[in-house]
Amino acid sequence: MADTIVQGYAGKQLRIDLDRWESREEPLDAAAQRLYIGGAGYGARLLYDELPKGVDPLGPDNIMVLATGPLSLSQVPGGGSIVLCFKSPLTGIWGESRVGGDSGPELKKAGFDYVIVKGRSSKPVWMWIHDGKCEFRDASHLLGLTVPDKTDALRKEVGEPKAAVLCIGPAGEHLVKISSVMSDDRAAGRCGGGAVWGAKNLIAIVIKGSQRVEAADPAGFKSVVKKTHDEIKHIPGFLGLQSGGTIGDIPSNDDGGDWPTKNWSSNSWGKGLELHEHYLAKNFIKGFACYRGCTIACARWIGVKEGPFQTPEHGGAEYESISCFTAYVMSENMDAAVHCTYLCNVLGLDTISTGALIAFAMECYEKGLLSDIDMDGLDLRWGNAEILPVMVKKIAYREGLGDVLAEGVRLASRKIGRGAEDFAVHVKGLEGPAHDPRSGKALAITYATGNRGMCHIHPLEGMAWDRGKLDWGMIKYGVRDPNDVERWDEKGKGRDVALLQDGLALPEVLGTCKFYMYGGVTVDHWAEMVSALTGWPIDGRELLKISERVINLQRLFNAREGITRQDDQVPARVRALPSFGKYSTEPECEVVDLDGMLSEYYQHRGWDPETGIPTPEKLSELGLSIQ
Amino acid sequence: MKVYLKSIGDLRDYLGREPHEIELPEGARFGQLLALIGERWGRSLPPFIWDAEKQHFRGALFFVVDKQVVQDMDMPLQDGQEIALMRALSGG
Repeated sequence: MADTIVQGYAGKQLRIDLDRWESREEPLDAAAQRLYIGGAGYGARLLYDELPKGVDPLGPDNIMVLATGPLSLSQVPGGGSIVLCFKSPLTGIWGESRVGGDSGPELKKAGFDYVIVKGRSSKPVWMWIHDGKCEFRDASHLLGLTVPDKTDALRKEVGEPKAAVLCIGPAGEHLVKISSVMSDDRAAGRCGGGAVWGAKNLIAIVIKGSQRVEAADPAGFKSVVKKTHDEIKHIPGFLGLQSGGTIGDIPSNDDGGDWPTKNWSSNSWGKGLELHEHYLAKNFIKGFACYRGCTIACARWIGVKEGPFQTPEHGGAEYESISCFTAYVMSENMDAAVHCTYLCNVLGLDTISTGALIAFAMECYEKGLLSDIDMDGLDLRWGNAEILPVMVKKIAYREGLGDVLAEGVRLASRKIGRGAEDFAVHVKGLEGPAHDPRSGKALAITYATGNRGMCHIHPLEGMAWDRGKLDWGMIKYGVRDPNDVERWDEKGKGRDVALLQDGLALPEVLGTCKFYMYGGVTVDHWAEMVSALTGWPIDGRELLKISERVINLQRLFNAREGITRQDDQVPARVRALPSFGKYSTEPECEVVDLDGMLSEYYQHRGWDPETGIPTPEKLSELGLSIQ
Repeated sequence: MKVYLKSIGDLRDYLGREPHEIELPEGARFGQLLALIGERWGRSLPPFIWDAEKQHFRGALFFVVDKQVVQDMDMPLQDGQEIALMRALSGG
């Protein structure tokens, strides 16, 4: 019988059968927690074991895992975190989407480390998880409501104004493949998790608890948590995020060639400074914390007081979101960008994919490719700010052209045809975010190999190393000092990227916020916390080995769904010399030899150079096997 | 007295990797340091870092002295202090 005693965890996982509106508690498999820790690690184990190849992501057999990690505790730096793991309806492969807020800590206090959802409810349902119980309730009255209205209604219904609420918006209800699961103003945005919930008729999960997780060494855990908080509060990255939020210094990104512009036609626009100054003068109100206990407080409270894009005060203006509604679409209207990211939040849409799809549509319009589609008088000229909120709503409600775009850029481009696929920017079906490998080429490797697709943050913002000169404390683990690396070099970066991916995947495994690593928390800090919490004698090297195991397991999941080296690509446009802007005369910025970089990467990873699949030797080393 | 201006991260592309030694009169205040930085480096700094018209650094940049972000132009400086210039991160 498996050992089920795990110190430092809540100790239980909750299985949900939506067909029957039934839940079942299960003890944790202690050995599995030791090998995979939690979060996207244990989520990968569950999905690999329980989801056969070829499952319809929008069918009842897809599994949605809500995964905390052992460090999803509000006193831990970054502990306000939960990861959703599922087969993505957008990409057909590994889907992983992390969100801040109080859901993770509240789930722990409710007595559970994981919620594993399968099946499909015959009618709209929401779940109320509290102190060991799980109740199923009719959600018919919530259909059509925005995310804030659903959230308010549910908190009133349970009588808990501070309950954590995860819910989908109208976009998820319409099975939009780029729809998100929201937690107040925070988003589990990428990969279409909102559509998975919508397909299951799962509208919301509300969580509140009062139990405590007991550490193996309570005094030691308290001490290392306090020590870490004290050490990082003067670190430049911590101060930078606290001061500027993730929107930070857009002009510097623009100047540095790290601002994808006009659907990736360029990497620099030259409008970043004026847009940022408008944001500071007219939109920004204050910083705030997205979960109780966060000391960085990088979230931004913003609004638009008046004018055609008037927007109530809300949490938003993240770098990615704003960039995708300005540079991507050539709009010089920051108020419109703020308004659109607000709309995405309330309707439950991934801001990155939504902005990317509108940019794609603008290019289709420019090239005369939309004549067969009901355009309803839409003016999709580049830079037309007025059309942006119109398109957001059309995508959310699948109206006209929005219905085509709601399938994601890969399928939309196939439907439109006539060469549209040439400028549909994605990797493995996931639309690209607002960072450009023509600013720092390590990003090309992470875009090509990231397990959820073209992602800059799961696990690694490559250009933050070779351009931004961050090392996240990984030099002691073999990563080269970024100050000794040229951003536009290509040779030699495969090994560094693999090591950095192992390090930066840890927050999703541990159940914490990655920005704390930008703020100075290192692998060694995490290891000390996990050791004190669980009693496991774990150090930084072992944590990195666990992370490597997780990345390889996610890769196996994808390989089983048909992913090979052929899919580890970055679109030609993203690698090419920019067609305008500051870097259009800088051929050094082109990504010339992605194949060479990937070969180095595979060699370090121990993956077959032809197929890109982990070799038997590597799997044996990590204790994995192919099923 | 002397203070040392250190640039963090990719700001070193513009201000150099090594700290700059800056001579100031005894009792100098932070605002005076800013003015001197502008005189010495302003013309060579890109507009997204230095506002030449207003003679100050843009909002997304900030200074750290003794582990605290400086906001008070009248803050007195001490001999031997290190002043770090950094920019807010973007992204994630």
